[in-house]
Amino acid sequence: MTSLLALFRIEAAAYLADRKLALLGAAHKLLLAGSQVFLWSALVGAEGTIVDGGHLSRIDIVTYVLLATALVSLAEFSVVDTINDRVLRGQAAVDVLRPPGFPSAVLVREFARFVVGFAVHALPAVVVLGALFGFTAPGPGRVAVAVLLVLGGWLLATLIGWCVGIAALRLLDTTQVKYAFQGVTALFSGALVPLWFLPDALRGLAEVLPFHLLFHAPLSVWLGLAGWAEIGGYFAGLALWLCLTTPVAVITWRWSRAAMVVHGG
Amino acid sequence: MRDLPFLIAQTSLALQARLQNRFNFVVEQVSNLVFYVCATIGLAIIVARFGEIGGFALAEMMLVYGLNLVTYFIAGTYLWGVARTLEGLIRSGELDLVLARPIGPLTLLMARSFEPSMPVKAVGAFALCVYALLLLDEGNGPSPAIWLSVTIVGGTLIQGGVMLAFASIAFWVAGSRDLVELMIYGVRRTVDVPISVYPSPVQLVLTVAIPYAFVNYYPILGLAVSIENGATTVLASSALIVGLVSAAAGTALWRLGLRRYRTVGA
Repeated sequence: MTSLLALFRIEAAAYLADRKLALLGAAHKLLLAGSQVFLWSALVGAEGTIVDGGHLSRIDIVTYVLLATALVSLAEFSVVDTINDRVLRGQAAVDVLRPPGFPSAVLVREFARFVVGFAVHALPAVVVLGALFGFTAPGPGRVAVAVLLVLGGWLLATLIGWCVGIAALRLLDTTQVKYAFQGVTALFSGALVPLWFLPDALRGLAEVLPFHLLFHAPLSVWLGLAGWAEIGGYFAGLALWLCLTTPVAVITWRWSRAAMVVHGG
Repeated sequence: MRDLPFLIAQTSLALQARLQNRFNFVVEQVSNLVFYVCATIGLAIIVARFGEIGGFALAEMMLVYGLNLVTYFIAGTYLWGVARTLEGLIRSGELDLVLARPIGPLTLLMARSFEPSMPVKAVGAFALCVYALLLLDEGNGPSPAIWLSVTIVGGTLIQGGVMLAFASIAFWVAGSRDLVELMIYGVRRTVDVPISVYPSPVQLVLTVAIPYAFVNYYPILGLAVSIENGATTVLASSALIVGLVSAAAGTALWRLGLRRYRTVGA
């Protein structure tokens, strides 16, 4: 545990070391979030729109796109790049020898980047644009549930990315597969278009796939558009998908680790 | 122009090298295709739900998105790598080696930066533009083939000019690569939708300072939307001129930076 905390601290510090980079990252997020705010404000208009029998105001949609842009790293599967990079440089073999072990080291690194990236890059954009264009703030109960769903979604996305990334030990390079995952995730998670606006057939498909748990679930909770029964369904879905992806991630790791041991890293 | 045979030969070599792992190359193209198809479906869903975006219906929206992509991919085939790597070359001193060669430095860097997946993606984006034009079927407008050719040439010059201009900042500022990425992944993507959804100051920036609006918005106004005044007519038909000016500005900045470049070995 001590080594994992140390790893988290080192990764976070490394991320923050280049202040100019952090500033540009925040500017980038501000730009993307700002363009989304203007687009969706123009689409929904001052009077808002009806979704799932509930009213979605202009401020609600602004809140949605701000939080979706802030959390967009959930749909980027950066763990694929992290693993491929370490395999390519031969650092994966060193990670295996270190006390936390390769899977724990990768997970902690990714979590540190997610948390620090959100705090440094995304949060300023949410605060600035929220102050300018309005922001829906729910009660503490809904905030807590939404945060739990985001953390569960992060774990799910990282496990999916892990299964793709770790195959690099066998296939040499799996970074390109990531783009297909990014596209499908963006469409079916609510990151690109809120799922309320999808046609019925696509919406049905989205609700079967795990990706809606990354954006649609926490943001519906945040905006008060999900009742307690739906929230229970989100957690059940998350638990189910985590139960399905964890064994796959473990099997993929064992299959890939065998290649590393044989080839010497 | 005298460096063209070298560029062609290097491109051929780079392509052969990339195709050594054909499976990987094919997977990359399929993966990219899935990504852009999903993005286009997302755009179509928004238009279907709301009827239009910034006054543009489905066909115009496909053109807006397709033109931004096709021009970026064509320009990026040789220049994106230059924009991303120049800062590292300056920092490591490798640019000195480039300058010592008998080939023009920009040509050499472009040859080294050739990205084979870009032209493949450009073909897909071009197909999207053609499909959108078929949907539009504007009887009274300019010839679609000529319009598309001129717009793509103009847009490619704009995208290339911006890439080169921001790449050249590396001659003055350390860490400019992140600025280049902010420009290409951030500012360029703001014209994935018509600039009419943005407030006037943003429209002005995208028209005058960084003329991305001429890549798609103004040419499409000239083709598909009834032109109401002389100013819009001028803007709609001037994509090519703006492209030439952008490319000239980018090249001038590159030459200025190169003249200013000093290292221990230079």
